[in-house]
Amino acid sequence: MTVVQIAVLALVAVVIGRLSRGRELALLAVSAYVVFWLQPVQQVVSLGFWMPVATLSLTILAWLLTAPPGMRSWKSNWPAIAVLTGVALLMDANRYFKLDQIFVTSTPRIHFVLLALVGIAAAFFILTRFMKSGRLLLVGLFAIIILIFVFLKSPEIMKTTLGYLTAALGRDPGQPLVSISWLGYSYLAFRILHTIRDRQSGRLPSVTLGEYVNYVIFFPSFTAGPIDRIERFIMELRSPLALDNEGWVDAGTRLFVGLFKKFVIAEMLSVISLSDIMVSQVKTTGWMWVFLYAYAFRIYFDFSGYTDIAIGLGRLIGIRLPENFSAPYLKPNLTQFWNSWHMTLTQWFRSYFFNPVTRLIRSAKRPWPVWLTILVTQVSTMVLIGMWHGITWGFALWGLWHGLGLFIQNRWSDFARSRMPAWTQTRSGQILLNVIGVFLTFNFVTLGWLFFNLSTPEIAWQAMRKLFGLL
Amino acid sequence: MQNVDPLRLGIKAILIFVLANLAFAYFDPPVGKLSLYNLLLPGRLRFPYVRRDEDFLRVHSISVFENFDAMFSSIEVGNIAKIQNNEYRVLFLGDSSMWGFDLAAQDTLVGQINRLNLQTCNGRVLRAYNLGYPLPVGVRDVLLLDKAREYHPNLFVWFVTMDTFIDKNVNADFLTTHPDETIKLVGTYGLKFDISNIQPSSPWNKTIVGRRLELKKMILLQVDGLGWSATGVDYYVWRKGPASQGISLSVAASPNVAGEAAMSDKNKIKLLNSFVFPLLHAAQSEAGKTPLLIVNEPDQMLSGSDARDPGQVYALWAYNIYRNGLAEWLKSGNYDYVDLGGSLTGGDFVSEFHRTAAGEQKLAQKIVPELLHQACK
Repeated sequence: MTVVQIAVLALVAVVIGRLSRGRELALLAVSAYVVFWLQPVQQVVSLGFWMPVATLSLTILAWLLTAPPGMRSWKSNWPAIAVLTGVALLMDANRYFKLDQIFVTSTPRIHFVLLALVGIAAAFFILTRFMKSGRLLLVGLFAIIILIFVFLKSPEIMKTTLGYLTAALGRDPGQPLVSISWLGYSYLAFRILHTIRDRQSGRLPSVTLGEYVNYVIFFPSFTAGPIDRIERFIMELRSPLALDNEGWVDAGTRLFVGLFKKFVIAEMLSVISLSDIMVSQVKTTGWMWVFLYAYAFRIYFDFSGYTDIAIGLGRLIGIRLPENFSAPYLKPNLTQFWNSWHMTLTQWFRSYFFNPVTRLIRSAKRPWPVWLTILVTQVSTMVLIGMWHGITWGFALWGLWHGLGLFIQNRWSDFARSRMPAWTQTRSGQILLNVIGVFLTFNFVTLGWLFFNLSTPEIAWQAMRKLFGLL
Repeated sequence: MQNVDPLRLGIKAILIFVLANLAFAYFDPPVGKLSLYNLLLPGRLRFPYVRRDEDFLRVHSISVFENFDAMFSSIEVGNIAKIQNNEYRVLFLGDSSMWGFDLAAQDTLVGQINRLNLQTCNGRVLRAYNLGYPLPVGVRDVLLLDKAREYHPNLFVWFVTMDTFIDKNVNADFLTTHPDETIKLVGTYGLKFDISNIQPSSPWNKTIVGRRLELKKMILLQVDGLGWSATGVDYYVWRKGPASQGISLSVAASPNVAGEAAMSDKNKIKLLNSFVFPLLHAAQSEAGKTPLLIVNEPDQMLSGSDARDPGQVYALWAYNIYRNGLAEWLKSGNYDYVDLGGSLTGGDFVSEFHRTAAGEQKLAQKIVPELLHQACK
């Protein structure tokens, strides 16, 4: 998002926050509009329209499959359907108004859109009316979401698939489709998967379509989190926090701090952040460390700044989004780092992967050794977190780096707990250990960014050797 | 926290913001002079320049052409606090061939001259500084020359070619961002330079908000000094694509100048009078008491191995009119002038005007006697 877009959305958030009636529908309309507004320009122009339609359709489908039958009545949901349909048609109608600032003007013809919307509605109707097993449908939806995720996040798979598609569509093979960008899919997927799993375990609250879609595409957090939990979100959607003096100051401070972090500090650091080209240009080890640290701080200020902006916007509406960062670079060990870096993502993986897998292993007939359980669960969780950012070797190695780091830290803590000398229990000893811990953790995390940031493991390895004077 | 009234806070914030903008516009602080270069970071060897936006991370350069002070402060010539008493400062002006397209900063003409560690006849250390900037724009060069007088020059050397005097680059860096200076220069010397699309600056352009892009770039230029310090890279070898058909710079294509044979003496004089002489006069006047040496820069067309696209540049006959006219006029006006147009061979060029490092080395050998001569006048 640009500063202007954030400013516009802040004003809209204030208006929504002040509404006493129709607040939920207004929020729904704005969030749906933002899905269209922020969608990046696509190689095939009309995809800029169809991808947001896909976002809304997938969300509605997820609601249909997760909501109890009692919540699916036409009476309580028609306003939300009208709003979502209205926004889609309004966006399409921009082909006649040609207001580029509002949305791309090259949208499909209106009768195509109407036909598609009727088709989607009919498909959903048939699916929910005539399919007997909701459980099977949920599993199917789960699988579809993961498959789309793999397609979008894997450059190789996308390239191959689009190559076939180019040929099938009879387009010029010299100009193949090279990419499709689906705004906010990672977060969309995680919110929907969260509701599917909670539905399967019977913990999902009953929500209307409007409430569900508002949760999934809530505009402050749609593109970059935080990943809220639906039960907490719905509580505040139904009973929003009052925008009193404290609320205004809180929201204003978060917005201002977020803008400063993202558009001043992070942008300045971006100029000198370690990149592929810099690895080959920089001549001395000292400068390599400077630029690597620059990247470490840049990614922190960029991401945490965006979170501050999202939390500030949410607060203006009356919804307190969860925190995502808590001074992660000042944590004395890797476990604490991951409890304070992208916290909502870590919590999601803990709830829906780490804990179930740990339980599964522990319930095995032949019990695994503790160390092996920890190794497998930590490494697999972190590799999955890495690949959530993209299915590449670099992200996988980044996950592996952290998984092994967490395992080693866990084993070391166990080993050292009863062997620490007496001076480490004194206040000054604790401070010293803490300082050493912060130093080691920060540098471990920073070195890990090499795999995350640089385009190939080969370049990351080259950078690693330069950092230690081996090249 | 609970005692804070957000309305009062907001009003105060807006008031302070407005006042800060007004104060900034009124006092016009010389923020461009605040620079880490030549203080904590080594000064650059030439102006920061990026050919394409997407290259800026690769070349560690951010051009703040909106602000002369910021540009001069970032290069070595801006280090006036440390000028040695016995330094003879030669400031070179020109286009991309002077700036050193596709060359490391150390390999440009200026770098080659400094490598020679020259001393003048009276024992002063001759030190050359590169004030070249890509695109041949004579008016821009004169603006830079005017500004450069603050940096204690002993000699200006201005490399020109025929393109320098043609007003095709009116939208070039420095001109539209310095409208008042450009309009004044054009008006004072009656230059035939189309400035119809250059609008005088408004008070808004002096506020913080109005100058936000310039201020942002100034800060980024300081940060990028770390990249420059660590790598020494401020250029990117740009692969030349096929010649664009959309940009015709050709004098030959001008309806007024159909060809040498058809061109009357009157038209030849008119061409030179409108394009060339007024600007040379302006440069000489702006240089003031500092000597100005004008150099007709080497041109691949005269080297015998011209590989240029004829649709892109002027024809040889047009160039010859310019070249001969320039020499005659400068001689009659007692200007200091050297014609190095045909001084290099084809292998010394990478393109029409841009030279190889070896070409720069050869050129340095040819210009040095003239520099030493000027220093001992």
